[in-house]
Amino acid sequence: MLGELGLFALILAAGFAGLLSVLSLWGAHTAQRGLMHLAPSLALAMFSFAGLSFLLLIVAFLQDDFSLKYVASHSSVHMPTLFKVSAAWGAHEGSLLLWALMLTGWTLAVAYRAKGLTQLEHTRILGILGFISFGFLVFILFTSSPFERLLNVPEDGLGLNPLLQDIALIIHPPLLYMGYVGVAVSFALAIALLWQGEVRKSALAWARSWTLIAWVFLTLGIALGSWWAYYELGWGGWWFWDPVENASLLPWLVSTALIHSLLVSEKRGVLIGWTLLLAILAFAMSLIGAFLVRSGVLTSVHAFATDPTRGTYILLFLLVVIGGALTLFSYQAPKLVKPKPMQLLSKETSLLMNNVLLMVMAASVLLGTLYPLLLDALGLGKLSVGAPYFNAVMIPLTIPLALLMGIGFFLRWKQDHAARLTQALWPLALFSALAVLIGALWLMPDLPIMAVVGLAMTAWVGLGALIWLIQQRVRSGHLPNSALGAVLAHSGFALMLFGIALSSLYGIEKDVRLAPGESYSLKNYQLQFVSVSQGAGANYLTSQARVKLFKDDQFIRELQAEKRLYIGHKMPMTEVAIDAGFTRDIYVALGEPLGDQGAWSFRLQYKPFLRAIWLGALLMALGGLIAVFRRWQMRSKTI
Amino acid sequence: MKRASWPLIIFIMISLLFALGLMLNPREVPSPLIGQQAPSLKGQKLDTSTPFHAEVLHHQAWLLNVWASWCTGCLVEHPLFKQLTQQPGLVLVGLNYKDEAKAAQDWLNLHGNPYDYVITDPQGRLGLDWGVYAVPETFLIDAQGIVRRKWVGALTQQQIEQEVIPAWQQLHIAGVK
Repeated sequence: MLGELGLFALILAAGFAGLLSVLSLWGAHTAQRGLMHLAPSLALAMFSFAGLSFLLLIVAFLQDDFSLKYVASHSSVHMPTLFKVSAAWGAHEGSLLLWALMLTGWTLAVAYRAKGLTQLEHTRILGILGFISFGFLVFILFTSSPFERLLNVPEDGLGLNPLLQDIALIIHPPLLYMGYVGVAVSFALAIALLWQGEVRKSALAWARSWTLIAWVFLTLGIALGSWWAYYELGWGGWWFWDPVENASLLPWLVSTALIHSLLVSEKRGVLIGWTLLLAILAFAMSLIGAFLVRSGVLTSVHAFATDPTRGTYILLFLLVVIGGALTLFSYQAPKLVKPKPMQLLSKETSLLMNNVLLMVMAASVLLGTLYPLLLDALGLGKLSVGAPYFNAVMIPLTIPLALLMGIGFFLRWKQDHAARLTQALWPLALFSALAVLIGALWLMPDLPIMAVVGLAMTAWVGLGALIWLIQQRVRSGHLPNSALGAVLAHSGFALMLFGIALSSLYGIEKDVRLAPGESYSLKNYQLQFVSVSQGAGANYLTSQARVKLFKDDQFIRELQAEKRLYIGHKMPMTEVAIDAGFTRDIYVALGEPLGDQGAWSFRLQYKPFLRAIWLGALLMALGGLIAVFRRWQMRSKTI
Repeated sequence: MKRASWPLIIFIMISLLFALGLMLNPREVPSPLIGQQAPSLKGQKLDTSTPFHAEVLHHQAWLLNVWASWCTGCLVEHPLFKQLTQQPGLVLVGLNYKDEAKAAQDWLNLHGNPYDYVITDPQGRLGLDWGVYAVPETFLIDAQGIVRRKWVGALTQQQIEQEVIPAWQQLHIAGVK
């Protein structure tokens, strides 16, 4: 009964989304104030029914209602309550419902935060968001309903994929989806502005806050996913250039470019066309990502169960939404753009250059992700593009990006002078050189050239932000209001570069065979294998290895690495043991038993400064949040 | 009237690619080898470095799995091979493709070795003869030495249960008779 209620709520939500779309756009077109005033209430109704539907799905999971196919396929009575809840978004149907719910949530938030927009713009944005919500809700209803019933109700469900029975995986998809869907807001604004053929500064300022929030969610979601892959997959890496990972990186790269381009457009009134295009592309990337992940055109290690009809629907939707948007862009953009000269040596030009670099990165990632598909389509064979390609492309692009990031804060708007700039930059150059020198001495004698490059980028970007902040503080007596978040985000990026460089250049990975009592040394750490014992958890059997960790022969702690076999799943799961620290991670994954002497295989890793990668991402997200709050504070002061 | 149509054009091209992609199945690759005599499989064994020739497998149906320690798809299908090795009489040969012997041996030590024989192919020469596009790939060869089936990409539980094992069993029974 509850299942049917959930389905009914979903149908109502889709109905209200359709109404919101049609009435708002029609109201805006014919300038009927009555219709335009309806939009916020329609958004509220749409969100409430989508929320109710999602809530009922969770209730079905909590009640072990295996008459629902979705519940029976992804839950089981043995599962802990927390995972029963999170199983609601653990697979395609439910995660799509969560996606749609969040979209309606963003729409509702937009409905009640219209400051800086004209009523016409506001109504059009709501109409467009309503249309996108409608598309997703209809998609769920026709191809992916989580409320489908089973004729023969099983005693117990199949259980959630054990890989997903994990705390990080409860939070990771919602964060990521908030980001994916969040970029729809700036997309809707871009369409509204193109439609009316006029771009106002305050509308761009409005879009910047929303884009920042979406970007913060994307950053956190990606970082959390990478952390999860590191400790859960048992392969020991933190990024695999898998199509699903790339699908999350693409909107991140484009929205990073968008945030900076919005800044230029808002402050200087230039790059308007570019900004609007980026706003469209950011959402296009998020939809293309959804298409790649859910249609089955690419094989990936963690793709959803796929189905070609779903792929066809998303592709059609993509064509209507993005194709429509780009058609509008091709007609309207030339009218909007009033070419204004930009000086080569100015903040806006350097931001544009960084924007181009970010877009080249995005294009390279997209190309690498689509290349296997392209060859296949042309009948030229099948292959997979792996880490070597992506590393070869991304590293050379990161170097000029970092170079410009360091200079960026010091550059002036409109027109700067080489002489002034050199003078402003020498403290940065001096301190960076000093930092690289200290770092190099510390790393000696093992000093590959890439380590020096990594240190130099870290110092240049990080110190560039910090020195500028200190100079501002000294000069004006207080911290600069607007750029504090940016300084933090740039420092976070520097920290991340540091972590990537050191952990990949100085990390040690070993696959070894250890008999009980045997040790293996990684740098000045020793790992001693004690024994393996068998046990059982709530819904799995486990082999648990005890491994003692020593540093310079001083006992530190005992690590427990596990291999679990979940009930109903034949694939064993690795639960790695990690002794984490900021300066290094010691990582132990249990492999297979070897022979009858009690020996096992292990994967052992020593990764220096690996945590800096995720800490850097956190700092970036925090910077984004601070930037949003500062903007809200300033806005409420001026009004 | 000026137009800014290039983003639209690029987008339409990408969409066309997607539409084509929907009609293809990334896991299904027609192999010209199917129905043909299998290429010879002559190489060195990974563990002992002694020569191996597939002639020793004559008069029975067998499976050839192309893998490498650097391939993530192999890691995904690997635990499922236990099920194959449980079939009495099934011979599973591993072709270690474009890999380093040490890395391959470490990988097998870590994840278990389901193979009856592992042949090394460091240069990918054997792989070329067999028309290997991407790792992992799995071939089914019958008792007469004719390639009967080919699977591209990591095998799933479902494929192993519903395709690989039944297909092998059929040939196995025919071969025994």
